[in-house]
Amino acid sequence: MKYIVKKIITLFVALLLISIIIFVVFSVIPADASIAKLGIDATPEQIAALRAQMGLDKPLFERYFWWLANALQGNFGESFQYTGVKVTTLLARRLGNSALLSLISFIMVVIFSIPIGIFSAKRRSVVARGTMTTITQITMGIPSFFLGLLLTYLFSLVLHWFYVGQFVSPSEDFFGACAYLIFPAIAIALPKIAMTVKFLSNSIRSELHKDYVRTAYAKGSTRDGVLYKHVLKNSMVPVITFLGIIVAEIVAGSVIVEQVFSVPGIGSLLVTAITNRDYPVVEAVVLLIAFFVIVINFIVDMIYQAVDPRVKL
Amino acid sequence: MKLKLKHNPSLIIGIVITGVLLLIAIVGLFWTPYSTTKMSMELKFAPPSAAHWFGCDNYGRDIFSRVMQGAGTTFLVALSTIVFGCTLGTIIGFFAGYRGGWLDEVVMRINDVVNAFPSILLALVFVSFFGNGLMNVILALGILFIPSFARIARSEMLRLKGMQFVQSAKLVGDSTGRIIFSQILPNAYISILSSAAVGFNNAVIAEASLSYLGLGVQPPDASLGRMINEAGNYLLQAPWYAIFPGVAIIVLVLGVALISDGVSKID
Amino acid sequence: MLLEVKDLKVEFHTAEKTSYAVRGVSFNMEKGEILGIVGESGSGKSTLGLTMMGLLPSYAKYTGQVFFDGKDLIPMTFDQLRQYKGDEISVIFQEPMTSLNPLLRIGKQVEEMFFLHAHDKDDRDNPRQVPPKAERKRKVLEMLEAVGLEHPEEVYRKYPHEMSGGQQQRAMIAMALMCEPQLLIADEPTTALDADVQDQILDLLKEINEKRGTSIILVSHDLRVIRRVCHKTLVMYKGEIVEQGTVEEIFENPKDPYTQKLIAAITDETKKNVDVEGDPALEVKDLSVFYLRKSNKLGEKATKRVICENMNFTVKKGEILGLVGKSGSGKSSISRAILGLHKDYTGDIIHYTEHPQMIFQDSAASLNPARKIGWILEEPLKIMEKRGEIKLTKKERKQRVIEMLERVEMREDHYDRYPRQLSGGQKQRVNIALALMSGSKFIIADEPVSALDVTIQEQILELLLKLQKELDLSMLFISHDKNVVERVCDRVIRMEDWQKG
Repeated sequence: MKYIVKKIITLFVALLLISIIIFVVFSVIPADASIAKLGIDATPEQIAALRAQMGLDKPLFERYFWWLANALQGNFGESFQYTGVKVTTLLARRLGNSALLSLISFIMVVIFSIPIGIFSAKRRSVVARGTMTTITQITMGIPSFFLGLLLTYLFSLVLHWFYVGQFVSPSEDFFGACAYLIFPAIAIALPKIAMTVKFLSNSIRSELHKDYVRTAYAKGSTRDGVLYKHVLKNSMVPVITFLGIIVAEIVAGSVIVEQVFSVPGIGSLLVTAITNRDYPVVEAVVLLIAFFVIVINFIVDMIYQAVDPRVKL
Repeated sequence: MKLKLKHNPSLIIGIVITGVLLLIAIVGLFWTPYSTTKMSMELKFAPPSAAHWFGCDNYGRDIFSRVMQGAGTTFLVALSTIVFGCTLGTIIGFFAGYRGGWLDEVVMRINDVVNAFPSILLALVFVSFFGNGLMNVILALGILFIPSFARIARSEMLRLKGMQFVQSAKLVGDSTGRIIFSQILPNAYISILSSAAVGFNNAVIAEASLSYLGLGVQPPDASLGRMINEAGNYLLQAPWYAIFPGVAIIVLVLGVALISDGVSKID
Repeated sequence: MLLEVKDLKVEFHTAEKTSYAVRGVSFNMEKGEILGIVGESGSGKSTLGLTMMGLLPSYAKYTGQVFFDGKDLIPMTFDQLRQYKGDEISVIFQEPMTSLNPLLRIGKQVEEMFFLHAHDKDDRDNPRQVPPKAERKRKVLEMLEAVGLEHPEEVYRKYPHEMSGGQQQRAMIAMALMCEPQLLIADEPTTALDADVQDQILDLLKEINEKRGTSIILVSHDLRVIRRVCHKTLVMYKGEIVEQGTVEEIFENPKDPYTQKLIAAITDETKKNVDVEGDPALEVKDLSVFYLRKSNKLGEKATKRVICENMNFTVKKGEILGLVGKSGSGKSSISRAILGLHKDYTGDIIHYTEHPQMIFQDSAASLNPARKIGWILEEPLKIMEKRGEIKLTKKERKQRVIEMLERVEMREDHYDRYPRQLSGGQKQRVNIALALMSGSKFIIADEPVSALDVTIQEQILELLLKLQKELDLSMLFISHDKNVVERVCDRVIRMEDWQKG
């Protein structure tokens, strides 16, 4: 119990810390936000007026406090680019799409990489191992945007299974949205599947050399019995941490792949915002993703200690 | 450490692939078979042929020449990034791990914070603040890689500094600097080298992704990611326009990954 | 006749070389016997047991016959042999901690035996009902109690890491006995355990043999273990049986020279207690050593572990003082405190010699694996040069190192070798050379031979005694092994005298 309480406290400290860092970075680094909004031709009076209006003349600490209070209520201010539109509104429209894309990608990674990883670890012949290693090694190195492009070429332009740009939001047609997102999800997931397969089969192989495996054979276990009753659980322990990292990478990967498939998600929002120096939007997206990653890490820790009895007390 | 090449096929294949590509890329920085900027309407979307191995793009430019040049840029970015991030990261990680205490705490906390972001995302933000272009991409990725190398160097240090040979070096009277660099570093460089190779590949993909999004290397500097972006508009007319730069990235990454695999097998 | 081994040969084929682990071994074993197999590392004694169980790695090739209860195990397929493993022949290993699955509760691991061997012993094709859950549990609890585990209900629910080494080994034994096998192979079952726990486990094995009639093969490097438990014994050397017979025969009248050497090593005359007069080399006054463990990520609380309290002793010049204590009692912390490598202590430590040095137990770990022997041994010279104490040319430095190598009975060409190219004994010689390189007159030898084979131990001890005389060294000799300490030390002090409880 104590362990969980400690972990939860650490979680909140991390979230607080990240929010401070993001706030400070976004307050200090961009040439003043008022200039970004008004353009470089603005007169000093205009700038001063806007700064007062935006509260930029107040001390940093006070501004952080109000910023955090607002952010907690889901208020991230207004976009520079679309005047009068709240950042929250922009996000709300797109968050669901990105979340769904990441979720489908992650499910793909889990359901494909675990059986393939086991299959790969079971190969004993040099040729079979070499082939598996080569395939995973090549797949790992395919940039997801390039893979996405190949998929659109094959399934959209040649086979006409779907049309790039004809994405319908999941609130209108959930299954239609899922069907469309399968393709970008493959582009994101395939290299990650290869990484996870490699990681898992290495993990299984290294477990196979452990003493308890020898004990299991000595007890009279079958080969499959050793693998599924003893080795698999042990080799999954490091994989849990690895999958946590993969989740973060999937989220980052979706930023890019959304561009290829014209999915209106937070990734494409971010890229547009960066190009237009729309800092409130960038700040909100970065904060959101950072929070998400930290929470994922927390969940991974929780699963880890549930699986491995050695991490209790 | 002896390099046993005979029992290390991945290292040999990796070195050959990377060596050939590196050669092409270096040549590409100074000389290409055709001009990379000269346009020609007759050659628009010319398919691969003996004269133009990889075909021509929407302006009739030779794709092979542009891939050569783009690969050069990619090598330049990835290598500078790694040299920068690896050197600083290793030094910081070593000292943090060896000294422990507050220095270690600070380094590890910064590490945690940076790790909370996927690196491509941080690079995007960095570029949004400081602008794009070759130098900024190198700087952004380089800084982002410092923590991951610091972490590896630190954990190597923690593993090695408790070993008895370090204690016996202390007893003999070695200075801290000498213990770190003469006694411990030779034992850690294999794993640092192998993660440098992994980092190199991450840098290649990150650079390509940034450039694909239009936020990385800018013209006139050639870039494989940017080429793929442009090619995306002409997939039906000229699929080879996208395929060759993409395959170049994959082969480059594969070569270095094989080297990394091979290096980690050296005992 | 329970077991009949005929001309068994085992070879290991790897990419680099082929090694012959067992070279044509034949022996018999009667039902109800405890047979010891003794030998040093590399003698093939463990390979012998693993071969019978089909537990050798895939690159091992073996020929010969092993008749168990009249049936030859060698030509059996994996599945045929699997039915014998755990059911008729069980095995327990050296490291109980790692030999148990870390993620499964003890109860579950023992209970698995019911599922693995659900068939008649006389008719192996005839499946037998797996007993119901309650009965399985009852039987497991009975067995846990029978192997001397207190509170079997609690043990049933425990994970391996929650138990001590001795308890883990008992759990291994419980698992091994669950299907009432005819033969139990115990492969170095007590080597990883503390001395008093060792005795308890050996007593348990004896009891199992007497009460249940289980035949036992006890594989060990330790002749004392064999003498304590076994009826008969085989002595193995380089893959061959050099001598076999009853334990009395072997100990009272060893015929083979190798056996004689082994026995000599454990019954050697102890060194006479010489009362050395003279000046002190080291004085330790009111020394208390403790360990502060910070709270860690696993959630353990900060603890202070006291190693010793108010320790007082003096090492005189030219004397070897022995310090005996159990393994795990923190002896190394004391030696490290004396040399300033461990900071958590109170009291006074006064050195009367310059550059005191230490020889560590793990000879491999104390040599930098990335550096050549020459580089390692020149390091102290370079440091002395930096301090301005000496001035040497490159050639002179090398010359000094080679002289030292010869002094510890090694050759000039070892100068260019890496530590991993040396044997355990040679590495320890390099460590001794390193300790002497800066001309130190006081050395702490911390378990310098306990990781080595018996005959090598003997050579290293001889070398230490020779060097001590030649160079007039003073030594603090730390060991858990009473025999070794008595063999070399002038005086002996005990850890227990300064420990609580």
